[in-house]
Amino acid sequence: MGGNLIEALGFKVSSSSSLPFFCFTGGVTPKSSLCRVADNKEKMRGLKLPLSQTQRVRLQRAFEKLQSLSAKANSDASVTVADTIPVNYEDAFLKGYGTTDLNGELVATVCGVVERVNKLVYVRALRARYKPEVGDVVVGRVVEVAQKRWRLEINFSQDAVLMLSSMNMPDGIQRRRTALDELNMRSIFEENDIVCAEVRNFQHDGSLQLQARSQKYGKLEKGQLLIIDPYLVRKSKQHFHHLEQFGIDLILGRNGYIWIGEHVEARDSVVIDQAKSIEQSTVVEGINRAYTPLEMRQNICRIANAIRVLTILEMEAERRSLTTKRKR
Amino acid sequence: MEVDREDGRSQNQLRPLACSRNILHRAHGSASWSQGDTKVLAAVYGPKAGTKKNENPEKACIEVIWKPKTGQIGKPEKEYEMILKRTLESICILTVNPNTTTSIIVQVVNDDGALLPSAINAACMALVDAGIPMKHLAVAICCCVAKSGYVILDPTKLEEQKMKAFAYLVFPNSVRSVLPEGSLRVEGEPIENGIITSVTHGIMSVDDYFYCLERGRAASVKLSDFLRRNLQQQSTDSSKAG
Repeated sequence: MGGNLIEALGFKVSSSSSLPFFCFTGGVTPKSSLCRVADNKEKMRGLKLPLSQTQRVRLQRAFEKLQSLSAKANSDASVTVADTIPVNYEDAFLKGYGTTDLNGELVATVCGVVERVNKLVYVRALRARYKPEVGDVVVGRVVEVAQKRWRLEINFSQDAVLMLSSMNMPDGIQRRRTALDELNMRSIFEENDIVCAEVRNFQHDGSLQLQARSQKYGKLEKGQLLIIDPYLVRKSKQHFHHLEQFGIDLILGRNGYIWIGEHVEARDSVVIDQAKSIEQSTVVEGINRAYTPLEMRQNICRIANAIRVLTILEMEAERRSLTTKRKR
Repeated sequence: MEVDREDGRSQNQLRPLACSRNILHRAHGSASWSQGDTKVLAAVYGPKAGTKKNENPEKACIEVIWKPKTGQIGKPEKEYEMILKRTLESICILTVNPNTTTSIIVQVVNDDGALLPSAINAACMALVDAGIPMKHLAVAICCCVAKSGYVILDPTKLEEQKMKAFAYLVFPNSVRSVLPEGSLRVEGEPIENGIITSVTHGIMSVDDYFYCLERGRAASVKLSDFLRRNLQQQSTDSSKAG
């Protein structure tokens, strides 16, 4: 149903056959798909779509229907600062983030939507900064190589720390990190490298500690980093996607950093011999660099543009949104 | 006592208000506030790690930078910065993000009277846009006392210069219920009491000051309605994103 609406609005899709066409994610109720379209009414106006008269009428009717649906007061009310949250005070409930107790009443401290999970009542802020949780997959950029750790910038209030001991050694052996390993940290990650890791825990001052112990984490090469708002990436079971049709890896970092790159089969554990490491790496790089084919790069760019359009329309960046192919 | 104001407003009438949020894309929160011709832009960056030297590390710290329209930064700007800092520290919940600094930068675009209240309103909306938890909103208003004793609200620059004394008052936003039945209950109650900041210039009697307070409080209810409607509109526009 949502797809028809998009068609009705006359989105022009180019005639390239393998262009992925974005559609609303499956399993979404018609009401919320309408919500998304209506929420972007202003943006669509700005996009100046060529609508015929019937399409305009249909769009107007859809918006009106949406207004009537959302005007009913329900328990998922959107609140602004200093609004009391409707709670049954007899029941035991837990005060979550974004709420505070003021004169015996539960008051919202941020603007957002009230969410209830069993007994927990909290306010989910819209457009908020990234709120990290333990176990989140994040993509970050190395800003500093410090003593026994790398500092990564992850779109959070503080830089995250990736300890040398939380990183698999290139030769795969589990051993104590010696002083020599410390000196060779730059051969693993350097400044401005893109790294994928998982949140391990919070440190005492509120900053994050990351780990990259599995084969799927580590340095990311041959691709593009895309920065979007963190609230558009929902926590899901799979953050690593492999789009077979294009041979592309898609990593949705929860901090709003998305990596789109050429598919890498498995991270080869290249044995770094200290004496030959430099010449070997330049030889390997020289061979690989010539081999990202033009079509692969075009696909990477197309997927990146599709995600950019989805974020402009404030739809979530999800694998299903990108994989429906449309041939015109 | 009927008073003739230059732009034809009545004694208690405010200038047309306009507020827009999220105008600067690189700042974590931003807002632009205009009252008539006075226009102020505020941007919020943070929370960032670490606090300043003399600040309590168990609480969040707020840092304000005031940028005038022309000229260098001098003592009046430092005074505005200090007033803003104290006001905003009292409305934010400082224990949520300890050992962090939030920077607020206020840029004066045009000054046509009631500059500090506009700046406080703009900074408050920018903090809301950045998602920083606050106990309530701060609503700021300017009242002037003329030589003949009458009190007017929201003066323009010319009116301000002719006045005997003026006061900037900041009131807290009232707590309202989301459901329609709840708000009916609130209307019957008297207007909330509580004042966050009061800055006075000039000479006025105590009675005049209390009169200003009363008028200011009544006007702040209207202002806080406007703020609430503004926030409600924008939050329903971008809600249900997911």
